[in-house]
Amino acid sequence: MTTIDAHRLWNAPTQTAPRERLDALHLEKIRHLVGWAYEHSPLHRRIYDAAGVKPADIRTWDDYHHRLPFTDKPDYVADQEASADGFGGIALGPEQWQQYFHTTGTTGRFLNEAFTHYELHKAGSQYCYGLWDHGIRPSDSMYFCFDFGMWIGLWSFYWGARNLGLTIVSGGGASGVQRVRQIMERRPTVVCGTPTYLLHLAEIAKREGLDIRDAGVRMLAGGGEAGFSIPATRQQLREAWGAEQIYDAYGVGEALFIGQSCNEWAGGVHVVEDVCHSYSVDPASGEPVTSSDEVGEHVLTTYCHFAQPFIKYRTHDLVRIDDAPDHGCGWTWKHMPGVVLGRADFMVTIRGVNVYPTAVENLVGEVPGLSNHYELHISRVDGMDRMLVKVEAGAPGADVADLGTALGRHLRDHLGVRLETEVLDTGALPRYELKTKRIFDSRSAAERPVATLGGHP
Amino acid sequence: MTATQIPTRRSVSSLGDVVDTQRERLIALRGQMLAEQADAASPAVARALEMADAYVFLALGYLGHVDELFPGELSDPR
Repeated sequence: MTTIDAHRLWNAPTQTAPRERLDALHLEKIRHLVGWAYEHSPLHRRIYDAAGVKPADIRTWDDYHHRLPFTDKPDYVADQEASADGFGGIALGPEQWQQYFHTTGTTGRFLNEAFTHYELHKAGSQYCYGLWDHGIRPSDSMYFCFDFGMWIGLWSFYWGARNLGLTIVSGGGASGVQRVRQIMERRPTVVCGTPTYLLHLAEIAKREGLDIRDAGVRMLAGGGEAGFSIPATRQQLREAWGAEQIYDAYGVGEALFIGQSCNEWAGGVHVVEDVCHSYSVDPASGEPVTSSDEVGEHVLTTYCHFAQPFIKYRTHDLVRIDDAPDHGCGWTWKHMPGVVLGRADFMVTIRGVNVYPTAVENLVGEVPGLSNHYELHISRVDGMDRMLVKVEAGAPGADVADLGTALGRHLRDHLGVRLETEVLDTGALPRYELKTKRIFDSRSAAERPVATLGGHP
Repeated sequence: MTATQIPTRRSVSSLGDVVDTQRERLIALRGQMLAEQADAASPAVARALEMADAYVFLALGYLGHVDELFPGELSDPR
């Protein structure tokens, strides 16, 4: 195990604690939280009663894994639609809320979320572990590329910057050109955005005759898309901005950015175990995955959200979890190599081969001459899954037919199946300021993979 | 909460003597702050102490505090 200076870490007492100590802390927190939810959230009481489980029954990890029911977004959405105040799974009333939000609606339905004053601060603490490890200190500054709306992800990044003590520079309400000029003028240490938008800003700067590398930005940070963990995109970002560090964060709207990258980039993020418990399961059986080589569905319990508890909550993200990482950073917290490998509900089976969208995204970035702008279109034709990969050429006037052939061959060589490909002229695909929509799944709910996770009512 | 529904809690956290000792000191500090909040001379002072309590509770969380989930939990505000 790596030995490091404890003060290099944000919170060494837990960040370097042995696995058995961390697990003991998790179990205590989870048992307490289950009791809280049962007593204060009508939704949780209904779910637990339907499963014939009382909080006192949850004493061991086996109880947690096999007796406590999973919860899922549809539980909360149904409760939200039935409630007078429009929120689901609530355990503390509106008089305790300080701010409310909703998820991005990636899966088609907004989920309303309520946070108390303390919860905002606790959620902000998630970012400090990784930023501190990268050498970011209170004397540094962070530029936000966004307008602050109802999506919680940006706000939580802002709480993180405040929690760490950074100087905050807001790019809200500004155009892309204005943002480039603000960045050149303010010279922030960190610029926060999605990878797609950050590359877009670099393009704008070039069009304006400016070299964004002259801004001296040390780190690009953000999340919401796969790009920050895709080697080709990381390299593009590094070159376009002249940035030394590319920082990845993974989260879900219900628990916020509970995964943060350490300074020893090992291709993924660590689970911030001070703020959540995280494990993965076989999507078909609900059984815990025990091998760090095996892909499973990510299931989590958050310690940042008590007004609206999320306990043993299905994220539908497919991940690998290494619970004994040792890549030189000193953290003992679980590591998720590759971050999100796909979605359980977006998985495609083509001629018997399971194809994960993230695997396709990684391969697209490896074909010379293509841009980082792409879309994956999933459909079901005559009972068979199909995937069409649309990608923009990297430069105007490129031979799109040749590029299409190269892309198709690269995908087939690495995935073992042939996907449909279409290479488009530069600028043909839409640009997004927030999370870029990459995956278009036209299959009906009945046609998508079904994961029941046994025991869930 | 009722004793019949909640598993009996015990403090399992031992992240080392230095950490455990600091946690105990902060719990005592927090008790003093909450007493001052109850006797606050004005709403302004009470609110300021309430916000300070959130930060002290964050520190307790870093030190493995598991007896409460969040500030105010045990006063059952509902």
